[in-house]
Amino acid sequence: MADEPIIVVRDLAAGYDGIPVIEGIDLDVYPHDFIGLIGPNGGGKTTLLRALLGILPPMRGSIEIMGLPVQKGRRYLGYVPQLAEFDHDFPISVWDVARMGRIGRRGLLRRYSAEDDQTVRQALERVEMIDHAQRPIGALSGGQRQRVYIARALAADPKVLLLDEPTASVDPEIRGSIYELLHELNREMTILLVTHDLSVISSYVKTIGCVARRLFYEGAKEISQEMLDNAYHCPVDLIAHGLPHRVLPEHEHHQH
Amino acid sequence: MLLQALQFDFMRNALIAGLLVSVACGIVGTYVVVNRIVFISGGIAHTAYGGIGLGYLLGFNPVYGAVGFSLLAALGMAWVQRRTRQRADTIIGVMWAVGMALGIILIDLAKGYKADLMSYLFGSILAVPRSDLWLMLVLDLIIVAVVALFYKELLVISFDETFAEISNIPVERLYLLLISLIALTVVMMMRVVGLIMVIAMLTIPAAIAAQYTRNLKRMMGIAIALGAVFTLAGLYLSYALNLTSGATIILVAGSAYLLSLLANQFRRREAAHGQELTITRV
Repeated sequence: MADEPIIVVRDLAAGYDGIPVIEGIDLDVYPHDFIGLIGPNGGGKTTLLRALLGILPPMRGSIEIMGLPVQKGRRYLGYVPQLAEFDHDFPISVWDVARMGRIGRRGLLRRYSAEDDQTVRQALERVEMIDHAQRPIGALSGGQRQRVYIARALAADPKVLLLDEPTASVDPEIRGSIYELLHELNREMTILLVTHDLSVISSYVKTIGCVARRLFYEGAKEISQEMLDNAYHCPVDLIAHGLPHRVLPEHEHHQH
Repeated sequence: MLLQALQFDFMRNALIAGLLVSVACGIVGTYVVVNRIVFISGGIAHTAYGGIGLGYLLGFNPVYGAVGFSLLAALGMAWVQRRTRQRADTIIGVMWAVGMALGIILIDLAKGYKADLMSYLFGSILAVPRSDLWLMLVLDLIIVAVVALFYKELLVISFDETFAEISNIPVERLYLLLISLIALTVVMMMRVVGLIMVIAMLTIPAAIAAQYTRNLKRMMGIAIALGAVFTLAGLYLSYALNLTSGATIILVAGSAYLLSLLANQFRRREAAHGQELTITRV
């Protein structure tokens, strides 16, 4: 990891109405990382993502992306929101959704160019959705939609993919294929995702962390005893879901 | 009989007004429906009545009062909706009623004969003067120009505002622009169906169109055509049966909406039934 970090977060606090949801967050994201952040509901996973995207101004601390402040640096991020946030009755085609990824590269009053179309085509091919390009987004299954939103993020040529619960509204048998796709994409780009879907996350991500008001992340694949103790909620969740051995160290006591 | 009616100037003007308004309705109504801001649009329409009252009181053309009030209401409501963490619908509902009440009180205070007061509330397409037609044409051109210029941004904002924001699109300014277009459309439609029924004409054509296409531009096109058909059919019926034109137009549109909902239900059941049949056959 001799590379410079892509994202540097220092002593970040963020929240709503003056009340921090997350605080004391330090995080370095390096090129080709594949980080999975888990945590209880309300633990601040989405709040952290919103801060990284510059939608939620920090109450304290700093975030830099490629050495730039968030508002400028976020052009290097490709964001894939939760599926549940979309209105799937919206009259729009797969192609038009994916092409939105280019809008940050085109100014106001500028039309999409042939080069944009080329990038969108490649992105849709990448996620194997090019054959569905002209279908309305509402006609797709959950897994297919997720692929389209990943294509939209890819169309922006991002350095980092940020995903919020990428498999939350996807059939269990499709989840594996979404992670397989992310695994492939990770060869070219950095991936940071938040989820509570532990069963799959552990076998694909390179490192794992836990967000429960604070961030417990040591760049390791395993969740340490200290993380468990500090982030009380996490282990309860972990054990309840019957997590794979690789996530917990062998000598772990399960008496919470 | 329609041809005979068209000999009258006012009937020709009414026809042209109906067509001009349909364009604004179809385009702006489509954004209202897909953005789910029907309630705000209703609020804007009713608050405009305050401006009518002000016009009567101070003796200027109430239409200008309506333009001013509806723009102010539009910006105020959009601000409330985006900025406060209060219940936005409550605040908008209050503004809605207060604007209307203000209009009524201002009209009470105005002296003298209150000519065609009702026409603002219930519409009077048959009394549209030629000068208003020009105003409508200009408003149509403004709406078409704005939507043509910012189509790709408005599409992203409508579909996924967060994504628009992180793509560094000026979301707030464009949203306020869209809301202002709604305000202008409301004033335009006030002449045709009246402030109280504006909301129906703004939403029904677009809502029906949404059932038949999954493409935003096509949805606008269909909504424009439907709006034209409803106003013309309503106009004709009101002429033939001697009924209030605005209300007749709304009833025509409402009946069409009901029929299209039923047809849609039927189609879905048919489709589900068809699937079942194939499954049993397999």
